Amino acid sequence: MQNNLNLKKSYDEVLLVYNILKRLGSGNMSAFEDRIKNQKIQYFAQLFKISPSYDFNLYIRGPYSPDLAHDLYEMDKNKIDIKIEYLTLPTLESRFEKLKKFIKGKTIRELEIVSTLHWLNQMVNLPLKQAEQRLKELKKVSEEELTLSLKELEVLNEEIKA
Amino acid sequence: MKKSKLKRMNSKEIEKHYPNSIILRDSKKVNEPIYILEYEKFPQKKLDHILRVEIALRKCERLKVFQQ
Repeated sequence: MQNNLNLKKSYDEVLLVYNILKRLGSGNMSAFEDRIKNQKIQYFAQLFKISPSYDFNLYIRGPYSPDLAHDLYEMDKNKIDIKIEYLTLPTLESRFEKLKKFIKGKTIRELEIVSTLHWLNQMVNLPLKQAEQRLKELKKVSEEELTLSLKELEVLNEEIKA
Repeated sequence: MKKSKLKRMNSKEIEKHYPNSIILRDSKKVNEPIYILEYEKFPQKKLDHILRVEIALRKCERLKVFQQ
């Protein structure tokens, strides 16, 4: 089946990406919001180093990878159905649990805001105050959302450093 | 990956011929011939080693390498 697929990454890499998304209740491609959620979860999965890396750029709805979107569309179009499995290596499974805990209960909007703040601060290397300012402009965040996202960024940085 | 791509060589030969490969050893027979798995499309600089091993193991499982 994989011979018919036109993927940006190897088939086995994409299977792992898909598996992780599915385990986290994501990976659907039908609704726009689902596709946004896929992007954000993959972004965090890469930070937790449990999923192959796609290149992300910053879009209106936060970090977005056209290559990831392409590969997920390709899997969806070809109706690739996977058996959801645990990660083989305990170290990775432990990282997965941390990721799961991190994203648990977060809305798509919250995932967008935290990933955008992380992107601005860590990928663009903007000092935190400037990143906050850019975040306010880009995402029109409330003070409450900003406070929450700063707290979550701190948690995220601690988790991925450990 | 086709079954024919799995070669049996020693570690040095593998490193020479397949620089982009994961080497899988059978823990009970460490000195015996080794299975290797190529990963031509893997961006090495972006994937840490443990993740490459995970993908290689899953690929072996999918291809049923160890049951052949």
